[in-house]
Amino acid sequence: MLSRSAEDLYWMARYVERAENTARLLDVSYRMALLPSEGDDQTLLWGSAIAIGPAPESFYERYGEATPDNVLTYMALDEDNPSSIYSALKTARENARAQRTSITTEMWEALNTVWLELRDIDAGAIEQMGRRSFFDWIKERSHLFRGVAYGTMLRDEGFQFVRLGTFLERADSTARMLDVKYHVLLPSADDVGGARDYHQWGAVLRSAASFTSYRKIYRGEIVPSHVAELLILREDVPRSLHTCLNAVTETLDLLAPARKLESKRLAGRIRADLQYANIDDIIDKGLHEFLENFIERNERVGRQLQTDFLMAPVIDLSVTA
Amino acid sequence: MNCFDEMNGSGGDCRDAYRKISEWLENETPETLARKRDEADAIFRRLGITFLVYGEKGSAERLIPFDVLPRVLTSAEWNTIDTGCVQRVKALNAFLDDVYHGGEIVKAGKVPQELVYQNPLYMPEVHGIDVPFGVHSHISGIDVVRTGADEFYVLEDNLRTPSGVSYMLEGRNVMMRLFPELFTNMRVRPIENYAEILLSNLRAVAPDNATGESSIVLMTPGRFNSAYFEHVFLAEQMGITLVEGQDLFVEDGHVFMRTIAGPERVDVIYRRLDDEFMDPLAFRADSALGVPGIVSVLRQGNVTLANAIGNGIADDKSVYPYVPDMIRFYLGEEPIIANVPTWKLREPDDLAYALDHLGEMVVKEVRGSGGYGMLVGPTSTTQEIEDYRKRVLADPADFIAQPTLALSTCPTFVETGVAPRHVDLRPFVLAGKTVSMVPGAFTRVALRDGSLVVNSSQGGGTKDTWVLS
Amino acid sequence: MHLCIEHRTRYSYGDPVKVARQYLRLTPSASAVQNVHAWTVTASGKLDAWTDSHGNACHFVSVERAKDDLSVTAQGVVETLQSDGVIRATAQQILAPAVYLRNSGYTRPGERMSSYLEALRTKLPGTPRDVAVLLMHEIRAAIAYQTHSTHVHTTGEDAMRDGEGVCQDHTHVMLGLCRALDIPARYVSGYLWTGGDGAETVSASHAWTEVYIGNDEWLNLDVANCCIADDRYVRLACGFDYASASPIHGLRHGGGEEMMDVVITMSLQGSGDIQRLPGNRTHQESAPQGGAAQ
Repeated sequence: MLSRSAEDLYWMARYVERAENTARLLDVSYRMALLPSEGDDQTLLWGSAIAIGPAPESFYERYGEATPDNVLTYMALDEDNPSSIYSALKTARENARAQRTSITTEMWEALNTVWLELRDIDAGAIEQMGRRSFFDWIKERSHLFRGVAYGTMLRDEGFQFVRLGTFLERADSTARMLDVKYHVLLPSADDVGGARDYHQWGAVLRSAASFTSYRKIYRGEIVPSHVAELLILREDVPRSLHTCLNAVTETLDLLAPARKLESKRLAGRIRADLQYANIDDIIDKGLHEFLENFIERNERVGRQLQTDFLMAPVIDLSVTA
Repeated sequence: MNCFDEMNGSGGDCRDAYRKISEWLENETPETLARKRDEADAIFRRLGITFLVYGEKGSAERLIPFDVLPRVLTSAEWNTIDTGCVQRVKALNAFLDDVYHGGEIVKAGKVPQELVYQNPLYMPEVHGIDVPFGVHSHISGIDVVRTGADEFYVLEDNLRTPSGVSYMLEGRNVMMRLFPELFTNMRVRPIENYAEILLSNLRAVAPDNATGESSIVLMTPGRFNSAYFEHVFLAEQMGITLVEGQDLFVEDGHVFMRTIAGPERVDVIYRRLDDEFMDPLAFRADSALGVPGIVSVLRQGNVTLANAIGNGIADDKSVYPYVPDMIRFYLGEEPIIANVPTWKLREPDDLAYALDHLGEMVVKEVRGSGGYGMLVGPTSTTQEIEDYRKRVLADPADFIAQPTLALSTCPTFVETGVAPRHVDLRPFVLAGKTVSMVPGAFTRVALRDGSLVVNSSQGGGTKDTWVLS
Repeated sequence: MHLCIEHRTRYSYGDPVKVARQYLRLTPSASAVQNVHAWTVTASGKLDAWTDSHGNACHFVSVERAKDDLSVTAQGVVETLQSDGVIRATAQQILAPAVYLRNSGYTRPGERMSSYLEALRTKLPGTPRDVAVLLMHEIRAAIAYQTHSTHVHTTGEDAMRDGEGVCQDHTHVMLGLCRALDIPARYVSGYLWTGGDGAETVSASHAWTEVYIGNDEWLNLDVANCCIADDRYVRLACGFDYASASPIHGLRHGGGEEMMDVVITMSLQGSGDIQRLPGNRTHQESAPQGGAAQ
């Protein structure tokens, strides 16, 4: 398979997943914002959504303050923010378009339809449909696309790259979502265990579609260490870091069973660390530090894929003297 | 203008080839034909068989109109076209191999030296490269026109990146779906093995040092190219990888393709990218579409391009008048299909004649294509003719002139019903170890009444071409 | 003479260069005017040797990893021979002489060159050789040698208009005029040994003209120095013009701003007499040019 095709499919899947996760991240912030707050809490809350994103400085340069409206515009509709829902779906569609012959018609139509609809949506339209409904819509469309891909796509190498993109992006996003809570809670650690704390952890769980799972597994009140365990270590939770890395390592083994690849080694080590980790150790050493480290290592796997699968096309050459 | 009609001849009696078509047409209502045409359009659209047509307002994707009435050629007529085009392509390949080596035809004084060596289409960068079997043009589109029962002419040769073959193949598919009963009655020779012959030719022209199963790819400029769907179609038909320039790179004297399993050596590239874009280090530095360094690989004989670089020197309209001489020089044969009489305006006598007869002639730029930039005297206004005269006078060597041919007509389903419309014919000649054609062609039809311009960019449509066995 | 030559080119970049590709024409070939005793070319990427249609020994360089600078070094010993400045076509030189009647943007005569040629037409002698020698003197008189007066994109027509230029420009004018008279002519890049006489400011490589005088023979004429090339000249490569004979032609991806350094060192083998030609340091899109005038 051509590296370029693999790369296009990988990014197509990553960007669809990113759009969904950006919607989830905004959703968690809205849920938290509904709680009674005092003083700087709101600014802190919305600032945290920006802080865990890829380029907070570019937001502050252009928007100044992290108000709910600004954050929504920036993360949902901003054409200049490469991670906004708008940009992510635009890029995903561009990648799909370049690989029309590698994907199924149903996949193309699913992606093209959401893009055509999203193109006409502005901040006013989101207000009208309701912010939460907008997030739900994006999530549904992402589910639809993934379902269509799983239901129609030939299980060839292209499919494996779709999986790789999906799970690397999802791992990144789950880690970041957990980290929001860290940013929000940091200055007011004294109310750990309070009602607010309960609601905030609950919001994180709901955004990761894991609230019901939590109830089933732990059967009790919401305890931060359990939430962290659920979203980091549980292998039966579909958005947990462990599940994502299981999928990544399995996919890499399927793609290149006989090759000794650095990306396989890197992903395998993260997976092993998750396999044998203990949540109390992680919390003792610092959850934030753990998540930061995970995000960095996960990104390194993504970069290594470029090298291992030659995904480095040459564009816009310039003349040397 | 008195034209030869391929169904009714010059007189009005139905010719043998069309007898069954004629009977069938008598029983078809315009409504049925319209329904069949809509069905055909729907199939083409679903298959994504569209062409980008360049216009003033950028480019737009659209269907080339498909006419559901087939054009029928008898076995004898086809024999003339077949042997004539094969002969021509053999001579053109010999010419290309010659001018990129010793230049014997120039030394023999048959073709003027400056017309070859100072022609911008002659590419000195590829001079001296030995290509397998001396084949430079592996896929050639030879445009043939007809003016009478036994009168065929070659209008022009297309030896660079000729397109249209997907119309020939898909047109046939559509016709077989729409009119199965006609095929049972008429013994139409099949053309489906086109992709198979092409692939086996491409295998045959792999470099001698290629190891194991040769690796063949189809190279496209990308999805913004006007014929992109054809590139996708042909790659799928042959089961070869469709690549862009960025997928290929040169190292250690070979071309490689970037695959997820690592670099894979490429032996043969069926490329649909123009010469000047192929190697930005050797030709156009502003192009990111090609493969920097590929000329160095070609010169070492480690990759074969189909078609080879530099073929423009053989299909240039200023070289066209010499093709009959090429046939005599290289093959020692007389041309089976004649050239259209051509006045070379670089020569004073020819220029004087043409200027006196502009109103009756067709004048073309030597390097123009696609029906752009030409003058069709009889259908032009006095003003248009005078404007064109000024262009010709500014640089006569850039033009040739030909008589306005009474192109044959074929029954065509148009708004007013079934009516005769002018057609031409582009069969595709495939060259490898041997030179051959499938019995079929891309027939272009001028849909406007009286129009002689069949180019799809200028309101032309297409028809399926049936060769009877 | 046995000349030791080292030709170093170094490009440095603002950002890392991700991918670079180069064609090098940096290897002299043996001919009636020179023997090559040892020659090596090294570069920042993988090298692959090939021969272009002008018969030049070339390399293709591919660089695949991020690099802050790229360098190309050619070095070796060339023995230049006493000759009458005439070389015969070699087996590698496969292009018909008539191909060298092709003009490019660099050489194509415009109004200035054409009217200049018209004015000369009555003075022109009979044989291509005599015509070429006369043109050499005339052009050298019409276009003053002036370092840094022109740049790599200057055409022969530009130089004719300005009345000044360097060896590259003299050569382009010469090529355009010879070709206008149906005399095939080609651009030659190489080195000129000016050892012992360090008074002149010289930089980088030199350029001159080869004119076809019939019978497979090409006469080497240096318009900038108004002489027939002798054993001080080392022939590196030929082409239609500066661009097709240039020592390095490259493309890159990434890198940002480019700085180029060229240092050419020449010495007589065994003499210890080393001549270091001060290289020029130039910005993006400029290249070594100029020449040794006497």
